[in-house]
Amino acid sequence: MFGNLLKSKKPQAIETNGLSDDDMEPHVNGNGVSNGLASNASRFTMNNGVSELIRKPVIETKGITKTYKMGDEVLNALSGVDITIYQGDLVAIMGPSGSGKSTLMNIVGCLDKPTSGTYKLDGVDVEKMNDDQLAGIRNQKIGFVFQSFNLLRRTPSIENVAQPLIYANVGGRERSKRSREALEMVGLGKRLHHHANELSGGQQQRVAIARALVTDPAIILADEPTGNLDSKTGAEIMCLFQTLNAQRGMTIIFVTHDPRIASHCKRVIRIADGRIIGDDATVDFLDACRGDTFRE
Amino acid sequence: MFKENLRVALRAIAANKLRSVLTMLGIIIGVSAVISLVALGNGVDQFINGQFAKQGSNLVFIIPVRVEQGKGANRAGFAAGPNSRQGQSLSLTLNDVEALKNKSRVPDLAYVAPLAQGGARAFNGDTKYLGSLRATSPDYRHFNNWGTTYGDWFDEAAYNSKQRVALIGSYAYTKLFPDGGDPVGLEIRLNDIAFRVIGVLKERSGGTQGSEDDSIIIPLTTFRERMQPLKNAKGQTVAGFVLAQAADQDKVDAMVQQVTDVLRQEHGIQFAGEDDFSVGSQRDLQNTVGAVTGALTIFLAAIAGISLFVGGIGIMNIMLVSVTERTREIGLRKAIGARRSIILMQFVAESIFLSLLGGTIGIALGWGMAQLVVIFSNGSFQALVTPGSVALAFGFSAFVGLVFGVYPAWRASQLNPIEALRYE
Ligand SMILES: Nc1ncnc2c1ncn2[C@@H]1O[C@H](COP(=O)(O)OP(=O)(O)OP(=O)(O)O)[C@@H](O)[C@H]1O
Ligand SMILES: [Mg+2]
Repeated sequence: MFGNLLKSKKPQAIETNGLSDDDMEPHVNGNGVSNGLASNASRFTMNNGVSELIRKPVIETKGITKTYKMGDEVLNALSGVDITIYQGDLVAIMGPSGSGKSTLMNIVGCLDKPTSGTYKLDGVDVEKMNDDQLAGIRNQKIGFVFQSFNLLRRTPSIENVAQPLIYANVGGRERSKRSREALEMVGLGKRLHHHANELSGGQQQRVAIARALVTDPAIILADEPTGNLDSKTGAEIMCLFQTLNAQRGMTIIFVTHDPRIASHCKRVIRIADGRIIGDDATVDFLDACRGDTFRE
Repeated sequence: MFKENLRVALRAIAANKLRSVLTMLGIIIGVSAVISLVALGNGVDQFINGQFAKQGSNLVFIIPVRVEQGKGANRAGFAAGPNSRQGQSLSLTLNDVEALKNKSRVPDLAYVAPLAQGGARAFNGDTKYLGSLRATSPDYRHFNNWGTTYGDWFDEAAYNSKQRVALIGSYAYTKLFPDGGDPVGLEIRLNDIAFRVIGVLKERSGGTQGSEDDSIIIPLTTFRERMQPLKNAKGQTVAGFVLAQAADQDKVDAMVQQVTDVLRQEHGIQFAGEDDFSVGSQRDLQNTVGAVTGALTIFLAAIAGISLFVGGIGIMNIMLVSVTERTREIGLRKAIGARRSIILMQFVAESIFLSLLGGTIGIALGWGMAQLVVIFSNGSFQALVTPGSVALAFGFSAFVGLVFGVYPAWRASQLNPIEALRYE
C-alpha cells in the first residue's frame, strides 16, 4: 500500500522530467523517462490485457441510477451505470456537458447517494451508510482534487494538506511529518509555509493533490483538475498524476473534456445521457512528462 | 481538535478585523457598562456603610406616625392652631423625651434628644446665608460628641429659659462669617428673629452644603416658642421627632422595646391599639439602603441582559454571514471527512471565542472607566471590580456566544457538501 511506502521509504520527489521548475527538489534527475515511465507503460498494457482477474477491484457499481425530481419533470442524470475500477487504474471519464460525469463522480466519491443500484468501495458497501459514516469513508478512502482547487486561503500549504489528517485524529507531529512528505512528493518541498493565495494556479493544484494523497486513500477522484489551468500547467499536473500512478500505484479517476488529457490515461470511459457508451484501454498512452503533446 | 478550532476561529477573526470588532461592540459595551457600574455601585455601598459605621449603628430614630381616624383617633391629636401644618402628626412631645430619660424605665438608653428641622434664612448684617435649621436639646451634642471650635453648646438653663442662642455649623460659619474670627456674642438674624451666636461647631460630615455642617442649631424650646409653635391636644410641646442612642450595640433591640413600651404607656395606647409612632434603628435604615442598592443591581442586571442579548444577536447575524461566505470551505471540509458535529463545533467555538474576546475587552474597558471615575473624584470614591463580577461577565459572554452561535453553526453543519462546493 501507498501508506507503507510513505512511512517506510525516505520521501523523495516524483521524477518529473522536462517540466522541472524552481519547486523541484534538487535530487530530481533526468532519467525517469526512459527507464521509468516507458517500462511502466508496457507493464500496464500487460496488466490491462492479461491479469484483470487477479487485480483487486477498488470500485464496483451495479445499476447505479440517479434521478432528480424538478417539479413534475423527472430527470435521469444516471440511468444504470456499471463500472469496475481496479487498483492501479488511471481512468479518464469523458462525455458531453450534462451527460452525468460529475453526478457519477459525486456518487463514487460518497458525496451523494445513488437513487438505486449498489456500490462497493474498497470492499465496503457504502450505499446504505449514513452521512457521518460517509464522512469517515471520504476521509479514509478517497482523495478529492477539484477544478477550483478549494484550498483554505490565508493558510499555509502544509496546514491545508494536514486538514484531512485532523479529521482522522492523527496527532500533531505525525500530521506535519506526513503533510511535509506529501508536499515533497508533489514537488512543493520548498513551499511548505506559503499561503495558498501566494501560489500559482498549478502550485495550488499540487497542494490540493498533496492534500488528496496525505491520507493514503484507495482512490483519487479529480473532476476536471486541469480545467482552470493553461495547457502547459495542465500537462504538468497530468505528469504528476501519471507518475503517482506509475511509481506509487495510485488509483486515479478523473473527468476531462480535453482529448489530449485523456490520451495520457490507460483507460477512457465514455459517458452520454447517463449511460456508459465506451470503455477502452489505451494501449499506447502518451507520457505527459515529456511534454510532446503540447509542443505545438 | 480544540486547538484546531481555536486556530481556525482566530484566522477567521483576523481575516475580518473591523467586522469582528463591530460585531463584538454590543458585547463590549454591555460588559463594560456592567463592570464599571457594578464597581461604582460597590464603591457607593462601601461609602454608605462607612458613613453608617462612623455614626454608630446604635442610633435609633423615633418618628411620629399618623393614625387613621377611628382607629385611635384624636388620641395624640392633630394640629389645629393657625400656625400648625395641616395634618402633621403631633404624637411625640417633649414630655415623651423626659419620660425616656428615666433610667429605671429605659435602662439601655444612653442619650435622647428631640429634633425639629426647617429652613434657615440667616443674616449677619448684610451677609445672607440659606441653610438648614435644627432645633434640639443640649443632649444632641452627645450624639457622636459634636464639639465646638469657638464657644460652647447651650446648657440646660438656656434651653429651659428658651433663650435666643445659636450654634453655627462649620460650613454655615464660612458663609456667614467669610472673614473668620471668633463670632461668639455677635448677633445674627434667623428668619427675622435676632439670635446670639454662642458657638461654632466642628466640621463633622464633609463640611459642604447639604451635610450637617450647613446647619444652624438652636434650642427646640425657643423654636417652638418663636418660630413654629406646636402643641398637642393636651397642651404639650411637640418635639418633631426624637433621636435615641443605646448604651451598647447589643442593647439596641432591647432599647427599642423599652422605648416602645414607654411611649405606648405615655400615649395611653390600649393593648390592641396601633402605635402613633415608629421606632427605626440605623440597622433598619441600612437594610432599606441595602434594598435600594439591591433594586439598582437588578436594574443593572436587566440592562446587562438586554445589551448582551443585542450583542448576541449581532454575533448570530455575523456568524450567519460568515457561514454563507464560507460555504465552499464548509463543503471542502465535509468532502475531506469532517462530520457534522465537527463543523458544528468549529462554528460554535468561533462564536464563543468572538463573544469571549468581546467580553474580555469589555471587562478591561469597564475597569478603566471605573478607575477614571475614581481619579476624577479625587479618590473620595472607590470602585470595586470584584473577581465575582469579572467571572460573571466572562461566563455570560461565553454563554451568549454559545446560545447565539448554535443556530448558524447548525446551519453550517447541515449544508449539502455538493451544493456547498458548487457555491459561488
Ligand atoms: N442537484 C441537481 N438537481 C437537478 N438536476 C441536476 C442536479 N445536479 C445535476 N443535475 C442534472 O444532471 C445532469 C448531469 O449533470 P452533471 O453535473 O453530472 O453533468 P456533467 O457531465 O458533469 O457536465 P459538465 O461537463 O458540464 O460538468 C444535468 O442535466 C444536470 O442538469
Ligand atoms: Mg461536471
